[in-house]
Amino acid sequence: MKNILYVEQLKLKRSKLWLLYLIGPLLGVFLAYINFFKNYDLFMQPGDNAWIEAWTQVALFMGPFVLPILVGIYTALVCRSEHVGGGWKQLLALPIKHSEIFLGKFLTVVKMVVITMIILLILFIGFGFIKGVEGSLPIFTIFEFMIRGILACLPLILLQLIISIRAKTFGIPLAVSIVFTLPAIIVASTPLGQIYPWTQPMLAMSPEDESPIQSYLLFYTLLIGTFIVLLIYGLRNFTKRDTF
Amino acid sequence: MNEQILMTNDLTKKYMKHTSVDGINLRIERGQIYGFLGPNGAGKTTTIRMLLGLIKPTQGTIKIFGQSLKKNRLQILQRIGSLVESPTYYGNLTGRENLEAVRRLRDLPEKRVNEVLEIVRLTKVANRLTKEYSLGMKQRLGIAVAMLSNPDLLILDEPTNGLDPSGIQEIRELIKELPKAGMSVLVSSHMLSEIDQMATQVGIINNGKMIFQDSIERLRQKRKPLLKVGVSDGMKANEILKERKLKANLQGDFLWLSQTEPAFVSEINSILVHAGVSVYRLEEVTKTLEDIFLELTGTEGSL
Repeated sequence: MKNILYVEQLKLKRSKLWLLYLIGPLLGVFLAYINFFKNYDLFMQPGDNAWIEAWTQVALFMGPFVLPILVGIYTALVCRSEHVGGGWKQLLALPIKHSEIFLGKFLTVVKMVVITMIILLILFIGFGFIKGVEGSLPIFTIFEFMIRGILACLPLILLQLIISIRAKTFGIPLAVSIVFTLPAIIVASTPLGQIYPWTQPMLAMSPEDESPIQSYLLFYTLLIGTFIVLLIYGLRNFTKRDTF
Repeated sequence: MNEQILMTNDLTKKYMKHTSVDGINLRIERGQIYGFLGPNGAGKTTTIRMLLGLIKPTQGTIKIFGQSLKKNRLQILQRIGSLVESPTYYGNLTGRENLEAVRRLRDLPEKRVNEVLEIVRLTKVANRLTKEYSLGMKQRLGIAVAMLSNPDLLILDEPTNGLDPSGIQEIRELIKELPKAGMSVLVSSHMLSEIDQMATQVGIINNGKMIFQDSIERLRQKRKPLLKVGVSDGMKANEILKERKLKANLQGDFLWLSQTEPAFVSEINSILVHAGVSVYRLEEVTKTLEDIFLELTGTEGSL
């Protein structure tokens, strides 16, 4: 697996990935802070921590918009080199388990999401200090939101990966990502939100009192459930596939 | 008897109603260069994909190195190097990085990269991005990837596609050398002349069916040239030759005979001219691949 991950990373060389790493979080943080300061009085109730309230805006913009689209691009990116250069047939004719190839691509995207989130965190805190957000920074709470956001991305990553493996072009997985992301914020307020992969990251990243989640136990059970279902489906689909 | 290293039984692949590979029994022995010949769309690539486990047969079995491909796919692939259809390349990587990727995935010693680069003569351009490579260079890179693991069986699908004549020559010489190291090769092509120059064994596939499988010598016998005779009156000339117990075949305005020795040709000429038939052409014609296909499939009578 170590070699597979190394090679996946190698294939991304010279792909201008760093640009995405920057633009995505930058967009999320900018939109969040603009909205936060514009409606400062509305968000800030007595006793609220300004950092947490600002983070809520990050969760709102990053969660249902920027992050799913980034995931769509990342998964398409790790499959693109195979579609373009005829890599699938070479890769699958090597003495490697097909399931490991699938997991290798999955973990590579997870890694990309982790990097995105870390950059997001750094930008969030950095801009926060520059803009002079008041109150003490609850670094561990926000770090926890970030981790939860990453975990909640896993079903979405699997789903987008399954689509990207099927679709030969870059456009289709991206279009799917955008189309299904649009209603995310509406879906979030319905019971369906907890199993809708485009909504899950936002729900997980939001502070408890700001999200419509009633029971976190139920939410994480559903999250793990979606993940397992998609993982099994994705693996079966990939290993049993007959068109390479 | 030599060791059978590849054996398929009744190998069949159907897509919906269309049968693209139909009951093929491939046999390759150790050290053979097996030329897998057939026109485009005959089922060569589909067969090769099945041999590599990229697609699953609808019917039939594949045994490689005495093991069932279905059960021991990974162990078998460990000993196979392959180039399927167009060569794979990651355009944003250099030639060396492309090889390095496969080397890491196969867990091979680092020095192999330089060795295969040398073999396919890509050392000079090894550090250039492969998207800048010519088709021939990409093809050679594909062959280098296939040879990286020093496989016992090398499967090359149309390896000379897109190469210039000197490149084809180079690859041909390279392939011919491989059995000396105990390697066996399956090489597909749609050009008989190419297979003729490197293969020891030939399998011809047409419309998904194997229509010939034997040594190259047996195929060469089938390729014996014919004599094409152009005469003013074909019917009359045919009669004259028949009287002399010379078997000829009249097709259009031409008579076809199976011998081309100089003495025989002069004799035919002399017979016909003396009988008052004017001869305007005496030509030695080597059968084309199509002729042999027609002959083997028996769809049209020939000599």
